[in-house]
Amino acid sequence: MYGLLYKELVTNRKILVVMLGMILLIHAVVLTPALSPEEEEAPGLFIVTACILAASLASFYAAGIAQLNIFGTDERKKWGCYVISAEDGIRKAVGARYLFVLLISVAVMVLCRLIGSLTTDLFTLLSEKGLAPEEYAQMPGFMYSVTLMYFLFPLQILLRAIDMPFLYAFGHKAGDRMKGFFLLGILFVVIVWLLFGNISVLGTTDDFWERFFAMLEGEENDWVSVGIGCFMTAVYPLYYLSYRISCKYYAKGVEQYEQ
Amino acid sequence: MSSEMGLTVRRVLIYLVLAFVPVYLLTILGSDAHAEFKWQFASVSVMWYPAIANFLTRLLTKEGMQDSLLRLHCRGNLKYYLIAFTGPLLLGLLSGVIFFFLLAKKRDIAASIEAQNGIVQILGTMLMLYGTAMAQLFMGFGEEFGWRGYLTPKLEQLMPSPAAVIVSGILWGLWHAPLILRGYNFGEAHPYWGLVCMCLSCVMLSFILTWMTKKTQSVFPAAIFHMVLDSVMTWASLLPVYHEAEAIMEDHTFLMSCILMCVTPWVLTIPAIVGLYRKPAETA
Repeated sequence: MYGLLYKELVTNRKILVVMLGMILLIHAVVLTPALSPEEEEAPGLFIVTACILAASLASFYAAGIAQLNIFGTDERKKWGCYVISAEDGIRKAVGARYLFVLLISVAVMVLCRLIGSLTTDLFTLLSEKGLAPEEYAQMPGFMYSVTLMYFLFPLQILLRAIDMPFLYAFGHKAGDRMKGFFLLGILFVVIVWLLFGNISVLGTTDDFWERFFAMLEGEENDWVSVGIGCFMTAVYPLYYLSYRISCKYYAKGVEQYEQ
Repeated sequence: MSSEMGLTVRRVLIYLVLAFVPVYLLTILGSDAHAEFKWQFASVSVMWYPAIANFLTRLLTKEGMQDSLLRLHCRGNLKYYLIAFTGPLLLGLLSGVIFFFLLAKKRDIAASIEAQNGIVQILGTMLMLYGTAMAQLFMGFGEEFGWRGYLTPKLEQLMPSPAAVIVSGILWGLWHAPLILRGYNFGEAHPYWGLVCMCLSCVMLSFILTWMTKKTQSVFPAAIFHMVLDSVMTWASLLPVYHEAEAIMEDHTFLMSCILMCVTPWVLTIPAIVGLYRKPAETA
């Protein structure tokens, strides 16, 4: 398994470097305006908080793109046949890929928390020295982004758990199309529900955002918290189930590879 | 002292320097007099240094990554993973029962449930705490890869295993010293007794975590137990007394922490010690 993980790292290092660069660039672009030397020109706390949240969201999006792109790097019939012929090859190769994808999400979360914490400390220091607005001291945006990441991390795992069996069963390109149709189907059902179903659970527009921010601050209610809690815990067994499905359809997918 | 033993001593010392120095610097400089972190970087990174110390020690002493205990080894070991997930919840609830009978002025479970907006909300909160623990597993891994993944096995090469687990637990407790002396976990009224209790608690947890690690040959059950302990145990202990938790905590911080961290863990420590050191029955 270690060897296969090493192989994932080496064959996908360019993708990882680009992903890392994108995450650093996103944070630099988003946070640099807040370091304006003139207090009058510095954006308000709300805007900086929103930017920190957007940077976390964009970072996970960049990680998602990287996770899907790694499927194209070793999509070769020769490699697929070798994996199938090796003892326990499918289980180990697919397992290593699943683990690698999970580690990318973990790495992004660690990176975002590190950057967020260093940025918050920098803002606090600048604020104490009078080089940034006073309100920047102990900026709450970082804590909001940490709470958001507790939701984004399992969400990303769930999305990969849905994606990966398609990519293994149909190959990278065809799998993307099949997954697209599947998600369109779900979107269609959601749109029908929004148009014709009972959406009183979502409340009014203002009410919805109020409850969203209350949720970020840890004030949930009843079944919403159960729903969120179930989502946050159930993704891991679902990820394992996805791994088992991918193992089952790996050989079928190899036949669909173009090369 | 043989050269091999000398090398092991050198590795332990290098590990301890790399694990202790950055953490002591960060916690002394990065927290205030009430053990609240001023520096967000300190609070985010402090749990990673034992793992970093493990990696760096192996690199500096050219040890390589053998015996790193990084495999999951789930097959045949699901019961240890189950204990890792549920053990801290059990310890927390047990502590809560003790708080209920010993400290609560108004012994009213219904009032406590109502104060938490009902059973459904309690269930939701518990699931979210578990979800948070899983999302933060890398933090628990950061500590356990150092203490159980490196220090304890190295100490076992120098002394008998029970002594190694005890010494490792004491060192782990002392690693928390700058925060404990400022009131973290045990309050500000008894800083030195707090440190003693922290070391005792870490010794007890060290037996539990070492037992899991040795039985599975993996640090991951210990990492899961550690994170679930940090996320779920205190919350679970306050469940039966939530309606007056604030008042109880204000009056009895030290006592509650002692019960939570030094009394109830015996429920798992004793089976762990038996599991670690019981000799297998001889076959005829």
